[in-house]
Amino acid sequence: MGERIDWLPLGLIAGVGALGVYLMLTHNPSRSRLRWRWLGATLAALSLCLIAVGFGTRIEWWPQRTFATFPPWLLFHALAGCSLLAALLTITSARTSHAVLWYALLLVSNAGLFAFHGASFLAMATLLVNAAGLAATWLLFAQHIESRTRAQRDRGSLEPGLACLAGALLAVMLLGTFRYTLGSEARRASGIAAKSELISPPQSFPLRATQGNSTPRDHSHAAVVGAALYRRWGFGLEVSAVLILVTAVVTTLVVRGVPNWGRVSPEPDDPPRTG
Amino acid sequence: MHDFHLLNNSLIIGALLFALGAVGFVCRRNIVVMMLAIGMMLQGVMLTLTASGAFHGDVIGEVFSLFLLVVATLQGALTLAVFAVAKPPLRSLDVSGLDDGENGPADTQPAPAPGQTEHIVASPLSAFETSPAAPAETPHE
Repeated sequence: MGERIDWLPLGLIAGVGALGVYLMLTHNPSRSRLRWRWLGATLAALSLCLIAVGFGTRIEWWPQRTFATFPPWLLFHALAGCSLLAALLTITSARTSHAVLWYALLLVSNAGLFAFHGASFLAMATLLVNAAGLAATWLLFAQHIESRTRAQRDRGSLEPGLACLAGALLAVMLLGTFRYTLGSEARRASGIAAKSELISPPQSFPLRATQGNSTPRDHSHAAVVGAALYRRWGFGLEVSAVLILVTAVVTTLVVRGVPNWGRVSPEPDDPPRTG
Repeated sequence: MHDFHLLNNSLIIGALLFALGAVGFVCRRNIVVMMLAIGMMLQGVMLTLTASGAFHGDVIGEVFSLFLLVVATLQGALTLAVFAVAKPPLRSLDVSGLDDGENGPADTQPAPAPGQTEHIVASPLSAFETSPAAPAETPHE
């Protein structure tokens, strides 16, 4: 039996957030947007704070942590806030280049969050592949397109009200599901911990990325990921490699055109010699 | 116990990222921003997978996230290739103008000559815009 969910306060909080996002989205460009954007940002921040208070839990770390001089919970919340702020500004920016830059900030913040969970390899891959590669490519593409026409800005959004309502409903369902499933888990875990007092700090920071596998603990995290990829998920790795190869070939063919294999193209006649 | 707190907070962040990405993909008309919104949703899913895997002490979440990263990269590469060879050439990032066919995006068309009517695609935002109402299209007999 899961935890009872109070849908009304959750819906109200999500509604406030949806209203904030709606105000920040691009609408009629002739109307002054700065005032409405600040109001929308305030409502979105208020909604986020209410979600953090109502559904978030404080991360408690032992003072013996190596990073005790800088509270890890503060770093986590800073990264999380930066990530959500960048996400909000990505979808509400009127300029494409600004949206791509905010998206790059989102990727960097998410990489920090991945590192918090011990996924250092994934964090570096996100930075190298997504932030440095994909975001830069999108930025160049946007600049290329916009340079051939007059300056393009989003003239407006398609059904922003319905989109924000749908997003709010989606967030409500997801958060409600998390509370329903994880709430009962937390009660059971706290009950067990209170009885046996078996709460023990992790062996190292980041979290126990080296546990749960057959590899020794002194292996690096990249070795652990590599062992999992090649031993347990070798088929998925091969499929991914084939997909990358096929995509590279198809992309090249699409851009450069399919060559005339097997068809003999007529040779141009040599110009007659004069003189 | 602190693992659960980290998991709980990370799941909330992943859910909010996914919801924001869905809103951005649905309502924005900019092609690049739509692609970024898809990437944002994938980032939310990756964060959820990574947090869940770390909570259970297994790298499976991170491995699945790596596969998602590959999928996101391939999606971006193919999309860019399709845009690069689009016929007619892509002259605007406005996705609502892609249905105009040979004439290209609507916002790059020159102003109609006096006496001619301008075909304007009806927008759901027409009721909220304060711009002058477009002239009605005269029926062709």
